[in-house]
Amino acid sequence: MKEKVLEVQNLSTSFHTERGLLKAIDGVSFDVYKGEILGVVGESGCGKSVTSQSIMRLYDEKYAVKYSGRVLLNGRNLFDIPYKRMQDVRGAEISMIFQDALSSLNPVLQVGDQIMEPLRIHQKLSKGDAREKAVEMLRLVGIPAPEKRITQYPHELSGGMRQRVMIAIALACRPRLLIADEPTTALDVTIQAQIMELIASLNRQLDMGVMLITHDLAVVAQMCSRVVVMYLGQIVEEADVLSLFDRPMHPYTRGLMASIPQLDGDRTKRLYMISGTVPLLSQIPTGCRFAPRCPYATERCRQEMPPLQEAEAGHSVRCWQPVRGGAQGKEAQ
Amino acid sequence: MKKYVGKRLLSLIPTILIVSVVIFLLVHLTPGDPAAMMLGDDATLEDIAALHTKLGLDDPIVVQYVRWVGRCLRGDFGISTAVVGQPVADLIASHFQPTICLAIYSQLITILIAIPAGMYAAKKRGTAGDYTVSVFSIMGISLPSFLLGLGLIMLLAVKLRWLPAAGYKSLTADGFVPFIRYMTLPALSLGFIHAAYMMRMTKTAMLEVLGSDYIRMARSKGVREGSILFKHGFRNALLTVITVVGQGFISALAGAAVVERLFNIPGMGSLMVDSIEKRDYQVIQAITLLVAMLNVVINLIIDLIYGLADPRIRLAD
Amino acid sequence: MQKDTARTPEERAALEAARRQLVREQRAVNLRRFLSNRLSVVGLCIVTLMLLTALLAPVVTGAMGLDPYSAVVRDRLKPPSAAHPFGTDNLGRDIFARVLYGARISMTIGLVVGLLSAIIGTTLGLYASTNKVLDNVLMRLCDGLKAIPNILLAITLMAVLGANMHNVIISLTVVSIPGVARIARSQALLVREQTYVEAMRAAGAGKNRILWRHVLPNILSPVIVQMTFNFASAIISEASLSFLGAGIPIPAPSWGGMLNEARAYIYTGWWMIAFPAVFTMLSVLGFNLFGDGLRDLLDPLSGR
Repeated sequence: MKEKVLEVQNLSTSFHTERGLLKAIDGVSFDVYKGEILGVVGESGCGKSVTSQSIMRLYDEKYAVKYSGRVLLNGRNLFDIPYKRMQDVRGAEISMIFQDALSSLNPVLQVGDQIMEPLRIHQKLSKGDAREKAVEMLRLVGIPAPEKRITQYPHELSGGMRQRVMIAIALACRPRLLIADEPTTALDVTIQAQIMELIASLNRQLDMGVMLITHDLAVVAQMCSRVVVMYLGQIVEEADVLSLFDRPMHPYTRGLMASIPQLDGDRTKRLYMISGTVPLLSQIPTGCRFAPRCPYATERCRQEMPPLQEAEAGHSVRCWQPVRGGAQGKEAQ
Repeated sequence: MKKYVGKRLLSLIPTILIVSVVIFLLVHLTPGDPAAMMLGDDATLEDIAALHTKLGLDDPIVVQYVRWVGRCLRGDFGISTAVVGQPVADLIASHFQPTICLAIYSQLITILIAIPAGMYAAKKRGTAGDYTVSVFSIMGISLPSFLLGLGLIMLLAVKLRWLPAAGYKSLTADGFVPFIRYMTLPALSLGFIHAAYMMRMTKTAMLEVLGSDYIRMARSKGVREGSILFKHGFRNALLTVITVVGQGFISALAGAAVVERLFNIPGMGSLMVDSIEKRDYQVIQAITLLVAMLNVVINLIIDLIYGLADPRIRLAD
Repeated sequence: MQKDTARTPEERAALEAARRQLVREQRAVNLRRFLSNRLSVVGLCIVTLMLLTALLAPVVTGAMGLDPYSAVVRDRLKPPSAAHPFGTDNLGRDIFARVLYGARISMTIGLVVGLLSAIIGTTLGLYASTNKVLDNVLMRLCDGLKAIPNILLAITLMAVLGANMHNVIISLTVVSIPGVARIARSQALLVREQTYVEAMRAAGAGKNRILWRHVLPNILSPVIVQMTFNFASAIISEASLSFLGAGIPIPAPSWGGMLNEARAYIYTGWWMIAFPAVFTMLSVLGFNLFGDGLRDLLDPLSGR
C-alpha cells in the first residue's frame, strides 16, 4: 500500500454562534495517499469546504472556531503545533486552491509577486531566483509567454489563466498535499476540462496527494481513485471510485447519481431529484441525518444514528439498510 | 492612464462652472448696494452712480459674471469694502499661511491616530479594544470642534497649564517648537471629528478586505500575519482611506472659521468671520470660492492617486 | 389592482387582515431588535429627554422662579448653588433657565431643518427620477453645492441673509437638501426599475400617483435615517454659527451663543461653558445614536 500523506481522524469543527456552539462537521475520518486524487462529494452546505479549511486551520481560532480530532500530515498532528507555526506548513506542505480565482488573487499585486511570495517565505529565495522560479511555474501550468505575464495584474488575465495562476501559486513550493475546493465551478465547460486535465497531470508529475472537493460526480468519476461522500457534516459513504459507481450503497449517494442526466437514458423521464433540501446545521435531526429526505427511512433510522461501517472490503457506508449489489442505483428513479 | 486623467479633468469643468455661478449669485443677490457701502454714509447719489458705472454694476448679469470670472482667473478678487482700498487677494494672502499650516498639521495628527486605531479595531474585532475605539468614534462624531476645543483649553491650558490657551506662532517666523506648542490644541480640535470618521472608515474597509477571498488565499500560502495586515490588507483598504484623507483636509479648511476664532489664530477663518461682521462680501465670496476650488483640486488629486494605487483603474481604457 | 376586484369583499377583507397582521408582527420584531441594541435605546432616551426639556422649559423654570433673560448685576458669575443650579453668567442671568430655553432653540432648528430638508429633498429626488433633463440639472447643482463645504456654505448664506433664526433655518435647510435629494433620487431610480412599478404604469396609473403612492413609501427608510442625521448636524451647525456670532443673535439663549459669550470667562467661570457644552454634546450624541440604531433597523444593507 502506498504512503499516506494525510490522515484525518475523527475531525470535528464547531463554530461559536449567538446560540452557542454549532457543529459544522462531526467526526470525519479519511486518508489521502501519495499520488492519488481523493474526491470529496456532496451538496453545498454539507461541510466539504469546512473540512478542507479545518485541515489548513484557516479559521479564527481565538473567537470563531473549535476543532477536535487529529489531522496528521506525514504522521505529524497539525493540531499539536502552535497556531503561529501553521504558517510554515501552509503553502509549503499543504496548499489550497479556491473556487473563484478573480476574488482569490490580490487585485493590487502583480501575478509574479503573488507566485513569488510563498517561494520567498518558505524557501527563502532571493528576489531574482524567486522570479525565475515563478516563470518556471507559469510555464508548468501551461501559461504562454510567462515572462510577460508575471508583470500583469489578475484582472488582465482570462478566467482560465487566473485559475492556472492560482495553481501555480499553490504548487510553487511543491507541497505534498493539494486541496482543490471546487476549482472549476466558476469556469466555462471547456476551460473546466482543461483545468481538471492540468490538475490530473500535475498530480502524476509531482506525485502529490490531491483532495478534490466537488459537487460534480462526473468529474469525480473521471479524475479520482477514491471517493468520500459527505452529508450534513458527516461522511456517509467511502469507497474506491469503481466500487462506488458500480454499487452505491447509501440512498443519498444513489440519489446524487440518479440526478445526473444520462445521454443514453430515457429522455422523456424526468430527472430524479432528492426531495427536500439540506437542513440547517441548527436543525440537525436525531437519528440518521438523511432520514427526513430518505425514501426508505424506517422508525429506527429516525431514532438511532447509524455508524459508518465497512460493508465490503474498502467500501464503508453509514446506513442501517445499505443497498447491496445494487443495479447501479437505477431503481431509485 | 492618460485617458483616465483626461476624463477626470474634463469632468471638472461643469462642477467648477456651477460652483462659480452659485457663489457669484449668492453674493450678487445680497441686499444692499456695494457701491454705497464702499463710499460710506455721506456719499452723494451722483458719487454712488459714478462708482456703479465704474464697477460695472449696471451691466447685464451675464456680463458681470464673465467679467468676475475673468478677474478671478487673473487672481484679482476685487477690493475689500471694509478695509478700503485693500485688494481682497492681498488680504487672503496674508491670512493664508496659518490656515494651511493648521490644516496640514491637524491632518497629520488625524492620520497618525485614526488609521492605526481603525486597523487595530478591525484586527481585534469584538475585543474590549475594538469596543473602546467604536465608542470613541461615535463620541467624536458627536463632538463639535469648538466644544472639544473649549474642553481641551479648560483641561490642558487652564487646569494643567501644559499648553497655551490661545494665540498663534508661525512655523516659518517663530520656529518649530513654538508652532507645535501653540498649534497642537487647535489641530486636535479641528481634526478630532474627522479622526473619528476616518477610524470608522478604516475599520470598515479593513474588515471588508480581511474577510475577502484573497486574504484567505494569502493565509493559505503561508503569508505572515504582519504581511497579511499591511501588504495584502492595508494596501487594498488604502483605496477607501485615501478618499477620507482628502475629505479631511477640506473639512479642516472649512472648520477653520470656528477653531481659529476660538484660538485667536489670524487665518482665513478669522478673516471670514470678521468679514461677516463688517459685511465685506467680496472677502467672503473669495474665500468660499478658494476653498471650493481647493476642494475640486484635491478631489482630482485623490482620483489620480487612486488611479496609481489601483491597477484596475490605471489600466482600464 | 385588477386582481382585487375579482375577489369577493370577504376574501379581500381576509387578505387585508392577514397583511396587517404580518405588518404588525414585522413591526414587533423590528421594535424588539431596536430595543436590544443598547446604544440606540440610550440615544432614544436622550432624544426624548431633550424634546421634553424643550417643551417643558417655561413650566420648569417658571415653577423655580427663574428667567432666562433677567439680569441681576449683583449676582454676576455665581457658581452653581441651590438658587441657581447651573450658576449665573457674566450679566447675572440664570444659566439653568438659559440652557433649558436653549434646548427649545436647538430642538426647533433640528426638527424644522430636518423635516423641511427631507420634504424638499425627497420631492426633488422623486421628480428627478422621472425626468432626464431635470435630473441632470439637479444633480449637477447638487455636485456644485457639495463642492462648497457645508459649514462654509452656511456661513456664507448667513452672511448674505443676515443673522436671525429664520435665516439659520433657511441656510441649514439649503445645506441639507442635496444629501437628501441624492439619496431619494438613487433610491427612487432603483424602485422605479422594479416590476411592480412597470405593472402600475402598464395598468395606466398616472405619473404622480405612481410617485407618491408607490415609489415614496419604498424610499422612506433611507430618507428617514438621513433625516435623523440631519437633525444632529443642524444642531451642530446652529451651535457653530451662533458661536461665530453668525447664527441666533444675542440675547437669545442659544447654546452656541452662550458658549461664545463664555469664552472670555474660561479662567473664572467654568460653569458658563460646561453646561451649554454638555447639553449640546448630549443632544447631538443622542440623535446620532438614535440614527445609527434606526439605520441598522430600517436600512440594514447600507452598511457603515
